[in-house]
Amino acid sequence: MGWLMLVTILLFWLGNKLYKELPILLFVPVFFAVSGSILFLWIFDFTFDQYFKENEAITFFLGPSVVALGVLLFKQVRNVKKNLTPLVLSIGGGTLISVFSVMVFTLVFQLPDDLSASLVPISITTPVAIDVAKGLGGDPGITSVVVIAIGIFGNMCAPWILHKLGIIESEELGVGIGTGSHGIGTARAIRIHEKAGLYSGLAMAINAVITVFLAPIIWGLFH
Amino acid sequence: MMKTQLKKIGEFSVGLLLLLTFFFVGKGIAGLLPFSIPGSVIGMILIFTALSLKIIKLKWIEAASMVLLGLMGLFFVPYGVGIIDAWYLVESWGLYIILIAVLTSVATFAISGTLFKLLKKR
Repeated sequence: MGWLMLVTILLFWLGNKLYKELPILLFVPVFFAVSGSILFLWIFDFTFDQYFKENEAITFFLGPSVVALGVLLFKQVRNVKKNLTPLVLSIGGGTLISVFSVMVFTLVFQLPDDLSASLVPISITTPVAIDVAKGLGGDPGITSVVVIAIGIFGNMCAPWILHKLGIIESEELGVGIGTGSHGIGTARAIRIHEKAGLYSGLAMAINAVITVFLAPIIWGLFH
Repeated sequence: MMKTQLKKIGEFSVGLLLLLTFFFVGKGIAGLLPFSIPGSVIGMILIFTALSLKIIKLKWIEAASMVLLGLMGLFFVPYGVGIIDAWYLVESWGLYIILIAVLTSVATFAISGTLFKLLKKR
């Protein structure tokens, strides 16, 4: 533990404040804190290793917060009992498409293995994506930045894209947004409709679990 | 006033302790498995099961869980900063990464949303 941890916390807190005043992309708290910390390290000449070590008390809580996702899942599953099987099948379909799409593209573009491993879990929530990428030999830095970027993309564009495809009802909108763009997308789904938020949150949690089991298997098929 | 606040702090502490316990048990199990599954996800499945089987009560862990979920963004900031160590990969493959990310997420939105539209019971 060290004082570089304060840099992260202060920037995140400041991002939150600013975003509430002026909701623009630059002030999205995670984005603001990541770019702010990078700038800080660069100006004051700290290495990433030192920064990461001093921030271990923060990253430690990622694990317990994934466990907390199970609590959210429990709270929400009770509300969708009759649709649980269709829900799991639809999300599973999304998981398969997501992982296969990344694998096929990385093969076509001939991306190096460590890069493609970093991209395999891009549609799931960041803390789990980091673990999946590490397990396959990827780089957690690339994974987290791409996953956050996709979340922001989904937050801004997913409802519009789904509308264009004729998906307009809250339930299926939520499933689409949550399966493709995890928690950051879910934040938008909640604002569309409470029900969309519920389905999006469920999709995020279920997609994470399915990907954890599927990703290593599909990765194995391609190697 | 004092009393309710103390009660809230107590509830939060018990909840956090339970979440940590499930996390470490999950990690322990993950270490014993022959394949790689994150311990946190095992902990998540275990806590879901324990709640479903009424081994633990929702009110014991609800407050702590919501606090952690609300702060999740903060917890992965240091990993995001890690992009500076992998910048060489982004520099040479950036365009491909953006292409893959956009196409993959659009396909994922479309497939999962459409499947649920077709499969859901009304």
